[in-house]
Amino acid sequence: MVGNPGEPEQPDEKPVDPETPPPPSMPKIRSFSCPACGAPVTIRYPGATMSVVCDSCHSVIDVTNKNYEILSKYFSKTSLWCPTIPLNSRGKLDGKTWEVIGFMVRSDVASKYCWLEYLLFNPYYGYRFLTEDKGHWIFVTMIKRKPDNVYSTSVRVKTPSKVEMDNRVYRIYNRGISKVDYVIGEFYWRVVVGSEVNSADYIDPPQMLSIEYDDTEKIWSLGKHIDSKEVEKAFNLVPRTANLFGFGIGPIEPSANSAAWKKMGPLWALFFGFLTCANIFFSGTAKNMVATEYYGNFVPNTKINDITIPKFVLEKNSANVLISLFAPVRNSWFYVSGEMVNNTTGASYPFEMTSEYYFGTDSDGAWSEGNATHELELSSVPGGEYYLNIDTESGDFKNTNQQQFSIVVKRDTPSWYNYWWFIFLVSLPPIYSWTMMRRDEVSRWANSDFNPYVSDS
Amino acid sequence: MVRSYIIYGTFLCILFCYAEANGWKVVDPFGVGVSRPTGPGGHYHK
Amino acid sequence: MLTLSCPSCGANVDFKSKASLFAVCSFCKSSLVRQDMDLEKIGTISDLVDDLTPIQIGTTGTFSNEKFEVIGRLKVGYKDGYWNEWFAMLGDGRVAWLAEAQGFYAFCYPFFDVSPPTKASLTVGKTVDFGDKGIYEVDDIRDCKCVYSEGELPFNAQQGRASTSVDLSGFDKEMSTIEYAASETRVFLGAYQDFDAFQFKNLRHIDGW
Repeated sequence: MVGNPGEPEQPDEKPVDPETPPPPSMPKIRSFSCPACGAPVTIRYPGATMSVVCDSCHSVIDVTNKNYEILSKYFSKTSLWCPTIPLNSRGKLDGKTWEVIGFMVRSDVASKYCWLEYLLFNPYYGYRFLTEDKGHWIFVTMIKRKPDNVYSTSVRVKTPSKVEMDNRVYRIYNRGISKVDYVIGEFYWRVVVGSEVNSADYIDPPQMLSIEYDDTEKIWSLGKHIDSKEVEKAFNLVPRTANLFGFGIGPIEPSANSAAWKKMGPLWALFFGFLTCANIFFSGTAKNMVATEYYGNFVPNTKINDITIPKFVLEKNSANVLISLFAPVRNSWFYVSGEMVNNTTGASYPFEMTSEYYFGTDSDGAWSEGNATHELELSSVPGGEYYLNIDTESGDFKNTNQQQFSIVVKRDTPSWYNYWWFIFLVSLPPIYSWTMMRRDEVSRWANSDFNPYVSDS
Repeated sequence: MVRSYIIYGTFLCILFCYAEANGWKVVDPFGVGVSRPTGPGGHYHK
Repeated sequence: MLTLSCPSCGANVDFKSKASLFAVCSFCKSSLVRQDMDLEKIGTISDLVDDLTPIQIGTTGTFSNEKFEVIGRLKVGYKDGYWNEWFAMLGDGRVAWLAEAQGFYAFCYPFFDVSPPTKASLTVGKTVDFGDKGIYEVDDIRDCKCVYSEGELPFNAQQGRASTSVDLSGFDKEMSTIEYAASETRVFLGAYQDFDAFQFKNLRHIDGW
């Protein structure tokens, strides 16, 4: 005698645990003769089952009463379809034991695309479906809840393009009419071969929401991807060496590449943001000091050797140096080669610079090229006293009067060189990740009428 | 992949700060900067 | 608990809930109507077609932190199947129903603070406003008949008792049922819950499982 609810539980009370049943005994089966062909038909779960398929003639028989009315005659001589998981086998999926009691082949009316469905039964937990679509398995649970439309519109749409449930947004994958092509086993409803129902699938890998609806009811179900190895293990199937079909990724099969991209994208944004902030900081705090300004005279179209620019001081332990050359070039050029020398250590930084500027007019109009100012950056120059040794050359000057050129040396200047290089380097892995993700997603959506990777035109 | 990218990206960020603080600049890694005069070549139209 | 004698066979008939007005004798299957301390036999209940339900009279469970015990059963049939409505008593004596069909379980309480809409006004997809209990949408409407009853029940649940049952769903897992019987209309509000969450004890053993 069980105590009243609310009273302390009695210790000798043995809870019935559906997971560890006592040694299996055969369920109460019921047999009768097929009204179409006379062969014996057995019902394994009378009371729960409403229709059963005769093994020999494949007629579907209503077993809700003793009239055994035939729901559809299906005098198929040979069995056209063989289920991958045999009927009446049991396996553990989603932590519970299920028995395969029914098998259906269904197809999309428009495309003739077909897939297999297994009806699973557990008297404690009810019914589940396992769908098999070219080597991809989905474990389907009917739900009483209804997903929300993502776009709430005043118009009631039965199959919007996106639906939401439990903070997941599911995107429409297929919409059509599903037809029952073939059945064997027993079912908790009156299954009719050839019957059609409106359906739509929404995906958010590794989950799927499906709806089947007609004028009087809408039934939602939640599907979850199951690895084919898990199904093989659960039902002791002979493992397939590889996916025989090789049709790429399933509609809700998780993609490691897509999962990686979901993290790589934000990480990239993080690194990008950090580098940008850091560069703004370092540019803003750069001292940008003028170390020396030198103005020298030159006679155009001649060479001058061994000009020494007087000593100047570069502050800070280590920083960059920016050398700017300006010469009054007009369709002419001015060239400097030289070195910056540390007065103490003798360390030398050779450089070459050219100021050239050209312009003119041709059949396409006015043009110009080059720049009278040329800047050159030197990386990480230690602090100390420096001087410059330079040679100059020039050419193509029309005006050969003596003219003036200038060289300005700046210390610790802001620059963007590093920034762009680092952005490039930090972007390489995400670009690879995105490419791989896209490859998988294109394959995933290849069978969908709502493929986002194909333009509508 | 994500793990190695975190390490790689963090390394790049630290290296960037270190390089900026010491004036290390990736200036012309392939040596393609202007050196000798080239004269008028391709015309850039205004 | 009230214990009376079956007027047909003399066996003890228990009434655990004061709300129970009907019982089926567990020995002779007489259907009995209680009037205060008197039991009147009005018929007999024919045998049950086994339906693999794991629930039985005496099963206990938990819903929204309240323990309940199943004390009666009403099995209802309609043209496409059947379902069970298990009459349950809570620790404080209140009563509720555990509806069970094809592995779905819902627990619901009688709700009196609303005047139910007329049966004719309801169609599938229509919404019903239950005030502060929310808005519910009609999922299906079924004409049904009592096909079996056992234990104790709060009304005369003779086999063949006809009613119309309207299932409604609310936000998330909330559900509602409106039952239109010949003499009365009753509203129930509750929610679906997974089998494991009920923490059922004293379940019926099912052969082979």
